[in-house]
Amino acid sequence: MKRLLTILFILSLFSAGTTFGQGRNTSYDINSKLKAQYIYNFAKFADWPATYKQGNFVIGVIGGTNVYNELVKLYSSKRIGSQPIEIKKYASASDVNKCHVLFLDNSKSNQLPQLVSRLKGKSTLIVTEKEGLIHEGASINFFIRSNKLAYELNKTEANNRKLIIGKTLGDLAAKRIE
Amino acid sequence: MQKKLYIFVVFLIVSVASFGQGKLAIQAIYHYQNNDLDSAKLLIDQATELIPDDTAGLSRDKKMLHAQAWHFRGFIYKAIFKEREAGNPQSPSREEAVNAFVKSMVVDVEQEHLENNKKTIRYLADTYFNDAVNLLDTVSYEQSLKSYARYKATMEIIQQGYNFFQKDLEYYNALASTVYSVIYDADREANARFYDEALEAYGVVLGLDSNDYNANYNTAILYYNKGVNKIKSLDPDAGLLILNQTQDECAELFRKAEPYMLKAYELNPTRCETIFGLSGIYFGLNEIEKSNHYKELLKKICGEE
Repeated sequence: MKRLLTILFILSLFSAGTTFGQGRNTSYDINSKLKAQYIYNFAKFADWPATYKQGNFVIGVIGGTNVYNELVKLYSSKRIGSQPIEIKKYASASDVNKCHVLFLDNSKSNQLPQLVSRLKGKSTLIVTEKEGLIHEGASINFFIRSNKLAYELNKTEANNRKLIIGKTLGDLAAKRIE
Repeated sequence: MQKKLYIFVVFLIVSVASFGQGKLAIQAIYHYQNNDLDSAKLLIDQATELIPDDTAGLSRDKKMLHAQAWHFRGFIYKAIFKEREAGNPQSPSREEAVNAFVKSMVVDVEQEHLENNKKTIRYLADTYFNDAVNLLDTVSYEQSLKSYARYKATMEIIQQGYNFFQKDLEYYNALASTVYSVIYDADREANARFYDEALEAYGVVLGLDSNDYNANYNTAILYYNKGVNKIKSLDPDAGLLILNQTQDECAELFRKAEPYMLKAYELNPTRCETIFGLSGIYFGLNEIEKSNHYKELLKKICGEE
């Protein structure tokens, strides 16, 4: 009986140890992974002017270290069309150079006006994640709907930047501003 | 006259047989005491073969003689089990020992061996339980279930209506943990079916006691982790439709996890793993305010970021 209790005790310890291990998943940032995958899809389903079709395909990130890390991990060795993807991290809007896609993390949202001004006339797809920013210069804005990450699309803003938004990207947007 | 002669002959045969049986049983037990188990087995097999299937009409003395033979047989087979089949969860000698003790109890009208029969059956039942626990590993967990069922059946012999509540809780919790963490978690793709079996085992525990902390917490973790792993293992080239569909599946899993984790929290509000779990579930559901509430609580109670 003593042996039996010992076995059960060991098993219970094992169980607890494992569940702590399982618990580690709770620190995994699933939203950042999803955002990275969405951003890659945005890049795939939009089209840039000819002048942007040479050299690296640059995806820039301001803030959002986890999103940046996911982008690096998943896509730094891939291509959009024939262009190798390059992931760049910018400290602030004033550091941004020519890039194809720019993700502005929620924590840096206040830099959008500066970013819009800096990228005026440039074909950069600006992606944000704060309510209202779709009307303030972002082409795509992430938001939460029914417990899920969704995106809204400002096609006019994208067109002003000479970006052509693919049909799939438009059709699957949760909200659209034509 | 002829009828009387017939009765006499039958009586004589039965008497000789009974006498022979008693003698064989005594000899068997002698060999058993000298640890000559092969001879003991041979003799006790012969002795018990002489016992008729239907003992209802037999005299009290004969019944007691048979009770003793079965009793001896039980001990001899138990010794064989211990000596030669202890590591075998399907030991035929142990089965035989239990059967012999049961048969002894049936004919033991004086209850001369009752206490010893019960005590030894109890001992054998515990060996089934030990097997059930020892077999909780990747290879043998299905045999573990069989051994546990056998343990319960054997206990029922000596105590009908025995309360297995505590044992069931311990066993199914251990089973679920093993099936999940040892088997499923080791290779999620190859062992996908064990995920459902782990949930089922925790379900058994919760059916017995909905307030079992461990089962509530682990059920929540099973659902939650499945959701997280779906996103973790997403193909980097997954298209927008897949991303959307995966999110739907994950949200459903996180919603399933929520009530179990809340229950675990209600049962033990200071367990850091539960607060951490709730924070993760609400983060997964994009209910950021709630997630932050538990994050704050985690800092306050557990000093963790």
